[in-house]
Amino acid sequence: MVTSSGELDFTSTGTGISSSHGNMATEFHNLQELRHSASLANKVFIQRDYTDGTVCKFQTKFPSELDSRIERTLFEDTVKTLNNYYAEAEKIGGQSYLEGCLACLTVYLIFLCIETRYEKVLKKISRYIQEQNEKVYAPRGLLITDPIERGMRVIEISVYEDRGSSGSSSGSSTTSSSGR
Amino acid sequence: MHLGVEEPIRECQYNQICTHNSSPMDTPHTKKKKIKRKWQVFPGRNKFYCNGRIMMAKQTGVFYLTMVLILVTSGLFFAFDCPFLASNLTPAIPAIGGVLFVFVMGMLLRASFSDPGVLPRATPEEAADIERQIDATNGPSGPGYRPPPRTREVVINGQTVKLKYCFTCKIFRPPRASHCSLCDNCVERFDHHCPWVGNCVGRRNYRFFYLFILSLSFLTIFIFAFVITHVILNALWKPLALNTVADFEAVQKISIFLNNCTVLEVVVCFFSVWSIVGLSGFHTYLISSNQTTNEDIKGSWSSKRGKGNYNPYSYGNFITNCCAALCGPLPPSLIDRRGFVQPDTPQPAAQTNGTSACPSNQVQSHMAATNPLLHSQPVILGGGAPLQAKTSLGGPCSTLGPSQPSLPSSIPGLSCGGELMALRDSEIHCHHHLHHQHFISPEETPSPPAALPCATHLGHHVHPAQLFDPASQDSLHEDSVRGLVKLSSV
Repeated sequence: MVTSSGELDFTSTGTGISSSHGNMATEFHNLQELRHSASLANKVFIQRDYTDGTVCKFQTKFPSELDSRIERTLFEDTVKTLNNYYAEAEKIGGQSYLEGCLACLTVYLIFLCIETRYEKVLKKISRYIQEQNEKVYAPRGLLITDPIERGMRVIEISVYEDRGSSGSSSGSSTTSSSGR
Repeated sequence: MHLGVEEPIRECQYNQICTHNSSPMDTPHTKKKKIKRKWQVFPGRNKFYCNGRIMMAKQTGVFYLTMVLILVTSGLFFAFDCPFLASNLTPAIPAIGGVLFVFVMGMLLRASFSDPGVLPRATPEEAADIERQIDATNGPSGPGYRPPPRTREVVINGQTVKLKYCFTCKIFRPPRASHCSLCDNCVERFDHHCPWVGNCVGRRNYRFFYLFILSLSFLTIFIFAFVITHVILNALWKPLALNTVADFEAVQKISIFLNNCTVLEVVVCFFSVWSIVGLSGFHTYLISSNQTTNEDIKGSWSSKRGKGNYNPYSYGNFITNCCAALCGPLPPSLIDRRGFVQPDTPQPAAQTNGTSACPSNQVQSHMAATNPLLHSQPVILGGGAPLQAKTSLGGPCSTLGPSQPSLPSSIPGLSCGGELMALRDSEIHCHHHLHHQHFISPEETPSPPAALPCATHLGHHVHPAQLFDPASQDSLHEDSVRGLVKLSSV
């Protein structure tokens, strides 16, 4: 699938991500293989947790649909890290005051030159999600969508059908290699 | 298998019907030119300018009036009063006036042109998921009965807050969000819709709005004060400057003209001062207690509602509240106006596009929940499939056109089940244009997984849930059409 290689930056390396967990993970060498050889079975949505107010925070409750796909601790770690990132972005403290005052003095024109702290943290978040997808989720046939693409309402986890479960794992790798 | 032989023929037929209505998708290259940006397919009633950089409400007449008033009054002040004041009093006056004016205009434009914090509408899968959760809590509703209003309760800092479900946007509104009926959007931390600014005032532009009215009140008072000063000084000094008759006449003409200007300025400023200073004071109170206009008007946190009623969002003291509102971090826009539309991404308004393939039980519950008329139909996919095939293909066919809802948006369940069939229908088309679209829109990284079920379904020939009886398809088809028509009138 040459055409799709231009679309995703991180798949150009094509490093093998083999998992050590038996039937929980299938061998997907990179994320584009995952998408093209697996079929989307379901989407799980992690909703926002509003108990702390309007700050961006996601529920860490483990959804039942992922029970057989990923370990609880890994999932919770991911969500907690994301929550921490968002808390850092929305933190009201010395740095945000400084930024706010400076921006006010320059009639907010300074944001044409520099990016806000929130935007910087969002970039960190998307890098983190990308990394998590590559290392943890894709080998298990899952894919996390960055919440910013869903209006910060949900963390969308796409569950791909485990082709290896219907046949042998070698069967899945042949389909994935033929799909390349 | 018998079914396997029949299906390809039907698929071809459906393909032809679809392409008849929409733009011909002969070559993927025609799509390349028709790539749209997201603002062009935005479902709300906003107007966009400068290729999506500027976002305003639909009615902007009053905004232009605001601009004219400010520009004309300030212009007259700088042109006619400032020379006198600068030479006779101090040149700091026009300087300060200039700074104030620039600040006012900057804040006004920023408040008017920026995204107030619009929440994007739910994708079809999200909407389906929420519907499923609601039905799990409420229980399935009977046919022809509108389900009760959907709310969720959440406890924030000890205060119970009700989250309402927005039927237009298909989301549970976050706390403090509200749906603006003028702009037809849900806006985060919705304050009010300001016609003077020509936009909603919400989380992202509240500080600009506040600084605008604050600086405008200073500017208005400033101009008012110095125009009065000018008039008084003029009246005092005029008789002393005249020596000849010619001088007197010239000065008289000028002074009449200046008097008219002055009168205009005084009148505008006088009325503005009361309203704008009043508004600034009101918003200062709101900021210090961390409330929105919406909440204040409704009395959400007033003690009159109950003894234990307090504002859970307030930080306690008014300084922190002010700092948080004005100097807090500026969240980014969630709607990504200038991004490119992924042609295979499900648009919130046209929900029949490539959505996730749900297992059959889920589909049944979706369809039961969202389409009461189909509730009694035993066969799931047969009924929904043919219609879905037509409309789903309408999605990929007119991929880059605006996402017009061909079906009412409250039936994601149908799309869920139906697209299994539909995606196989569009097998041939999808395979080709999907790859080309990846080329076209490299900015979207990574493209949403929902974009790819088309391709992923290619190798997916026989699925247990897809076995259906083609004989009963037609009768179910009619029922589903009736059902959909009924829903579309809701």
